[in-house]
Amino acid sequence: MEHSHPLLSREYRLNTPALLAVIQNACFKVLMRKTGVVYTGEPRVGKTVCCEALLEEIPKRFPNVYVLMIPATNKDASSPRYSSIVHQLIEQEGILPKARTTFIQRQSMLVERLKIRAEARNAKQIVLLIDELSRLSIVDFTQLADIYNKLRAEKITMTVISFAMPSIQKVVEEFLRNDDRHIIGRFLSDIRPLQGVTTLGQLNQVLKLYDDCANESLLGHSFTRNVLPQAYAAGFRLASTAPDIWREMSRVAAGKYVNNLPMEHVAQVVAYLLVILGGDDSDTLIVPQDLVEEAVRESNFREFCKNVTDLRA
Amino acid sequence: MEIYYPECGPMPYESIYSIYIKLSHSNFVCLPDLARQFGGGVPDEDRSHWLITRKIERGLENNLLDLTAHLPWTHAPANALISPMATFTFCIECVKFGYHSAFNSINLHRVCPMHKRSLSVACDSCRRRFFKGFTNAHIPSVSERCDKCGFQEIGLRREIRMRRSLGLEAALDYFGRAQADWYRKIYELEGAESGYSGLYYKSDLARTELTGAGERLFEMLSPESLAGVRQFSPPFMVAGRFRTFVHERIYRCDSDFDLGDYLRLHSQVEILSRVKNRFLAKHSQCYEDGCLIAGYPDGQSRTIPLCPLALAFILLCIKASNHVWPMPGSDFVLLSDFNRRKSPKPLTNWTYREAVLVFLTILARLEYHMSKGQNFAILCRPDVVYFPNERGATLLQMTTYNFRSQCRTPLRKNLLTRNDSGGAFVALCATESYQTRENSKLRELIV
Repeated sequence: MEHSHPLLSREYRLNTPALLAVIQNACFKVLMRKTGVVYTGEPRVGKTVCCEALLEEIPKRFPNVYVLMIPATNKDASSPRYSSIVHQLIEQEGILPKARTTFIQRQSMLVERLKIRAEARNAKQIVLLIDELSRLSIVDFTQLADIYNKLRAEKITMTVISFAMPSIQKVVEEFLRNDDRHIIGRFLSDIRPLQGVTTLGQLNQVLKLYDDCANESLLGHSFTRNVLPQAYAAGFRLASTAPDIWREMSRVAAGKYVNNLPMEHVAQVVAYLLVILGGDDSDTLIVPQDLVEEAVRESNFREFCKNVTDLRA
Repeated sequence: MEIYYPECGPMPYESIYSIYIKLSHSNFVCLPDLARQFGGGVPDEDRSHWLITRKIERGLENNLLDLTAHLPWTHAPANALISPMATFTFCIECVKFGYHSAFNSINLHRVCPMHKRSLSVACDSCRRRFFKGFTNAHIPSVSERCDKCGFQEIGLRREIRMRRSLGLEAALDYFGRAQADWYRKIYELEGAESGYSGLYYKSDLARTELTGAGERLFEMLSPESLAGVRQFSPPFMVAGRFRTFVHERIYRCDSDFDLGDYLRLHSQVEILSRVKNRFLAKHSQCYEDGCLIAGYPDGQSRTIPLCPLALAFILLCIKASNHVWPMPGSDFVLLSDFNRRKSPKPLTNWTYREAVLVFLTILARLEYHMSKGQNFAILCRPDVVYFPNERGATLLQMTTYNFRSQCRTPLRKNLLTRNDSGGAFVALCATESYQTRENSKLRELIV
């Protein structure tokens, strides 16, 4: 398999049941002009992929909605003048204000740019996708509320769809202590869990996506057929290995990942299997149990669970 | 720095100035910084007042789409453009959706074909504010309609909203394309063939006279016609200006001007005599009457039926011997700015061919002015250009037969008069009574 193969470069997106559920739910929130929803999930379950999928899917379903995504980073959260969310958005928009430009002016520039972007799409709604919401400080949420209010004054609604670690609950508690309930009401009142692969049935569905769904722009046909053409023609399907993979990954799973397999590691196991099996493609291809064990071991899932759980402890 | 422009891009044939100012607003960058961004902060010598230097133009081309249609200097020569920094003309309807046409910067372009109305000139305050570009004080930069000049800035957001108007971009493209084609044709006149292009941009009279003829020649509509302004559009012909004498009655056409042209005829008197024999054979009485009125007034005002041919010839004779006519001392001199003019040029030594061309041009101008149906005074001045170029073809308007023969038509009431103090000829074409003393705003035809 070539180094640039989409399976290895991870340029593909699988419409897993979890991802479809997020898209459906988020689109409903957009439709209902909700102010905010937060999806929380453990590391590597696929939050960023969901965020990127929304960036792609929402404009398809709602052409008159302007969608922008920002991966939040926390820089200098101690100073309200240099609130990171406004500056990140300004930077992302390519606006370069002069050094002496006041914060209010910077905020006005940002709001004006957002309004122009929205107007270009004839949009009365802006969807802001924030990845890693938990990195934002309290000041950032206040600034988000200000932006929301400024847009609202121009009859533009803003829906903030965020993805965060479950620790976002601590931020909510802090807001409650500071009596910043208006921010909770706007952005943090609807917190929904985002799970990985929780059942054998779901894993079976995910593996079926490798067998059946074709990404025309990448390969023209499914991954299994592309890597194992002879076996695929003879009736081999990757989904048939779902019980073995589920059993092995569940065996090594620990902490929050019991019955919650991260998509990152599932994808790594599948990639490993296809890379190894690709050299033995034949009509009578079988996947031995020890190869599955080796694939799970190579994905480093056991150490991952252990370290993440230890760190959290 | 990544330059942002709204996804919809500039409007068709929108002026580069408008685009540049919008770039300043949409990127929240003041004009000097934006110019530095493109590496063109220092104006070029030939573009010292144009705002857009060559480096800026190249920078814009790299960041936006093809800018050719948006550059005024692609539609007209540089010396035909007026700097919007000095005089900012705009259509009061176009600015309602944030549009400023690339053609508005062309000298003597005074109409908006799309809205069928004349262009307005921005007041100093609006012009300065507009060309200041982005400032931190105004985010977004939106202004109310100026009570003085009618200019307003609507802001990018409202502009984008207005552009959803059905068919707006198609209409802008249609009228822009038509004007671009027209000005390209006019631009092409500049060069080896003639110098009419220069006149077209410099003289209102030349523009008026060339417009109708150009429409027929190019088979297209001028901006004025697109705007619904009625054009004076007589028939025209293209005459080779110089013909070299080969031998009797045989001339070589389209050749360079050479000594043969001078040798062909000897004196202005002989040339004028030949012109008279050719054009006034059947108007000898008209000519004699004209000579009477053109002579010393002798304290009496005179009025005769107007014969265009005789009048044109008399004017030709006057031009051959006088730079300025009527001479100072008569009250009609006050109609023109004689005192402010430079000293007269030497008398022109016309060839026969040139004399005919001047005669026919005067005749065509008479017809144009008479077609307006208003009285006008006729003044001779030396700075009227009849030959825009030393070489090449001459575009000549042909007068109608009805006009030339109106002295023999009983229904025609046009008269030619001159007051008792040696003033200018006054052609009486209007239906209302003429009172020289009271009518101080008489139109002028300067030949």
